[in-house]
Amino acid sequence: MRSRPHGDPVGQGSAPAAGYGHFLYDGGSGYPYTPPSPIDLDAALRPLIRQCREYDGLRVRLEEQGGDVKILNDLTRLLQEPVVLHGRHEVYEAALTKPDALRAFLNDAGLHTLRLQVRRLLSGMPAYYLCRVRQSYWDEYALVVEDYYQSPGYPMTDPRFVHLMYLGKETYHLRLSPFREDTRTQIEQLQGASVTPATYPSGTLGTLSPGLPVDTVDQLLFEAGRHIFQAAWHEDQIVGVLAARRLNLPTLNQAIELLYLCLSGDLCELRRILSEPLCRFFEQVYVQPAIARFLRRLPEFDGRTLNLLSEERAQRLYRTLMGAFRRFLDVKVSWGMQRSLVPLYKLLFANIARLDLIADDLRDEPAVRDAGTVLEAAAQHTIDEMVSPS
Amino acid sequence: MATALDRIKTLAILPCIVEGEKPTSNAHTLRSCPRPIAAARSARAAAGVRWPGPDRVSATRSSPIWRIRWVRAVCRPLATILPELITEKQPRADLDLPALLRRFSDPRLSIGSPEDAGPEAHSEKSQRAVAPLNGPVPPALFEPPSLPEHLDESVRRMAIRRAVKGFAEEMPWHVPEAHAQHFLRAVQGLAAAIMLASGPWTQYEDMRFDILEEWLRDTGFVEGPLHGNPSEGHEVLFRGKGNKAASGELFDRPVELGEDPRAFEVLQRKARPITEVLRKALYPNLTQVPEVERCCASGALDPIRLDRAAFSEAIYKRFRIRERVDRRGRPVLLIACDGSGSLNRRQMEMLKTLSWGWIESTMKSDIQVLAGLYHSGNIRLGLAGSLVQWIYHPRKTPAFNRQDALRALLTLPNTGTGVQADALSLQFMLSEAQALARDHRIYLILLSDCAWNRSFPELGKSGFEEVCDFFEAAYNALGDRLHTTLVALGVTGETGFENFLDRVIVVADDALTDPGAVAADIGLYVASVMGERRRLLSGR
Repeated sequence: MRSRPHGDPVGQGSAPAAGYGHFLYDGGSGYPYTPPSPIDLDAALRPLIRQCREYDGLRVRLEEQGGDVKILNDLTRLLQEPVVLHGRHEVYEAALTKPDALRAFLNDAGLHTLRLQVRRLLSGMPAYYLCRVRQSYWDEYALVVEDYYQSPGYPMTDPRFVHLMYLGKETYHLRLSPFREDTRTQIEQLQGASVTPATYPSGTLGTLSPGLPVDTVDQLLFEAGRHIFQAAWHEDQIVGVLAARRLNLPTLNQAIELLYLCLSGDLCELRRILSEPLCRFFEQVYVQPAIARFLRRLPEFDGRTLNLLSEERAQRLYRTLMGAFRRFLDVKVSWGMQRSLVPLYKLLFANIARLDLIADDLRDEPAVRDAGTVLEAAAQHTIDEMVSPS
Repeated sequence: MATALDRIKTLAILPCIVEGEKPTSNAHTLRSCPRPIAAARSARAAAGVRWPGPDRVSATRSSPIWRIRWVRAVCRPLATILPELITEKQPRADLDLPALLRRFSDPRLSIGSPEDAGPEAHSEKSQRAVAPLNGPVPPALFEPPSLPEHLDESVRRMAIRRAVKGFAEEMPWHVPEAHAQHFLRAVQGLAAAIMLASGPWTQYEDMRFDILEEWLRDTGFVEGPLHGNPSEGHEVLFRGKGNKAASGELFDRPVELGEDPRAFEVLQRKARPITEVLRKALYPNLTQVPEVERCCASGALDPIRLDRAAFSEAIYKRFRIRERVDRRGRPVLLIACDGSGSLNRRQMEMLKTLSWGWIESTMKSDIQVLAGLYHSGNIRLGLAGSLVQWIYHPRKTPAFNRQDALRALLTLPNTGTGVQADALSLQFMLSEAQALARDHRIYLILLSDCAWNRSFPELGKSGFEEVCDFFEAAYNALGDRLHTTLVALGVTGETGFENFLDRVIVVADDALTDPGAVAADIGLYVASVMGERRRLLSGR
């Protein structure tokens, strides 16, 4: 599942990009800080990923084609078979049925940044998701910056958010890992060379981890996540975002994210850390023309304008956009065998988990099309007002 | 349509299969086929034949055949939306049982058809015993258990079957024992591995959302983990003498209403003399009004000159708090009945008669009535404790009115039961009465055999002392708004409360079976309280 054609800079003997390893902190002991032993994370995780991949191959076969006694025995063996895993400090013998050993290895190898999640599918079989997380201690969500493995069929309702069990609680994490490869390509284009920690020491793109080499891709994802996505994405947007995505209303989605960014984000801080790669991220990787336009204009805004944007204009436009969306939901749609008129909100809320099944029919409805045009115009007006506040 | 209906009819035997029962009833499709697989074939053969059973099946019939009919009745409308039956020849494992039900049924049932039965056939077929887990799923009446639970259950069920002598020989799909064992071991091993790999990894973690979803999916309308009440009873705070606090838990529930008209008449006739006497009792609501009385000097003191001297103005006026009848308010009559095991049959009979008399006598008055029996008993399985059973409570009993509430007295036990916690129960009942009365007066009638029990051992007091403390605290809190009467059943001599409560009525042991004699005592009581209340009512 994991595809990293250009190789992983983390796996080239560097220190990890996240966790406590990048802080020069002696823990208050008075002794000089000793960096953790370097590790090839790719090589360390490879046996575990291979085991998961083999297990998932058999599982999918059993789920879709059925099987025999042999497949049951093989599955049992793969779940119980010990795998030798090399951590930073010791060697572990772990199996998928031994969570304690697995967790110990992952904490050792990833310095508490690796998360292995297991979910029970409808068939009753377990599915796995292995990722790397970067904590953002000042914000609501932590960021998933890299996916190592994801089982086929692993449940993920909203690709922007993922539930991870952390410290005994299930918490939402922002999932930025899908942008990782495109981010790497973008940085390479920008710098005209291959991205390695040696070429891009810390401080090039941000201010984290002075003195230690940092994965530039991680860094850019972190900057985008901390300063923009933390504010622009929220679980409450699910209805609007799903409707925009399924009913082909791209401007609405852009307007929602831009409004949330201005309402919840710290625009002064964003203006301070703004960089060319960050602007290009929203032009090439996560294509969001509204935010990209806003970021391009942001350095021109003075403090009064920023204050006006977040305190006054965004709130007013939020109400306006909500009103437009409400009118959109009130549209009567000719629906069902008898073509009776049903308000759109009933169809949306009743089918929120399977909107793709009715989206085609809804898009073809003239009433929805017309109302969508009006809503898109309102969204565009919102974006224009935000981007050109004068 | 016919093929889909055919498929539905085939599916209709599944409850028997899933539950491991042998469908031996006289249903149309099963009459000639006592075995499930054969029955399935017969059902397919009967495609297009109208189902002879009723469309609506009584829920009270619980035999397997009625369940089958019910499944058919439910599935018939669904047949139109199911996929067509596959007609080309293919292994029975994919044809007869849909994936989910095959998965959750006995694994051996999915191995071959009856004509394939036999050791030779099954030695090969048993190797393809597991159907696709994500295959098409028909609508099911009940959610199946999760896979590991199901596999465990299958293994257990099969072990039970093996223990039944001759069962294996009766099955047409008999699988050689060695293969069955091999298959079972594989299933069991996988189930255990899945549980270890996918279960919650640590005890301290919250329940994962996928496990919660699965749990909610399987349990239907059963209460989820977010439901529940940490304390089902009522927490009662008690403050004894010396300001020592204690607390206890107490449960309450209504008494069931009786349905025996003969017993109703008997008890009514028995209580009639007492009721007649008690009708005269008056329960006015009192209110306390502060008044200022103007005073005037007389005699040698000249009132005209007095106000020139330096003296307190209090000499001219006097403050008094006067009790008056408040016609707007509705007082509460609280009847607390001791129903503990120390009450014998005669005491209990008298308790019912007196309660009847008090409730019936107030039927046409404005007074509010609360009546409860306090003792201890089972709350639910595995939990017992102090219990108040409400004979009449305007908000907690099913009775429409007080006449209806009298039926509750019919179902009270003939003798006392359990161990009562006097102070705890009285405190709780009084707090209920206070909630009902608000600022109005409360008349507390306590019917007891005066065998007091301890409620709060941590206070280190006897039951009698606790009850004394209760009354003292109640008087301190309510003052004149509380009027208490103790009816001591079967007590000789003094109760100890004579100088403490407003009234004490002692019903001697020999008078317990004589309501007329008790009525005379009650008459004296009524006469003694009538004087004071008439004075209040007349405004003097």
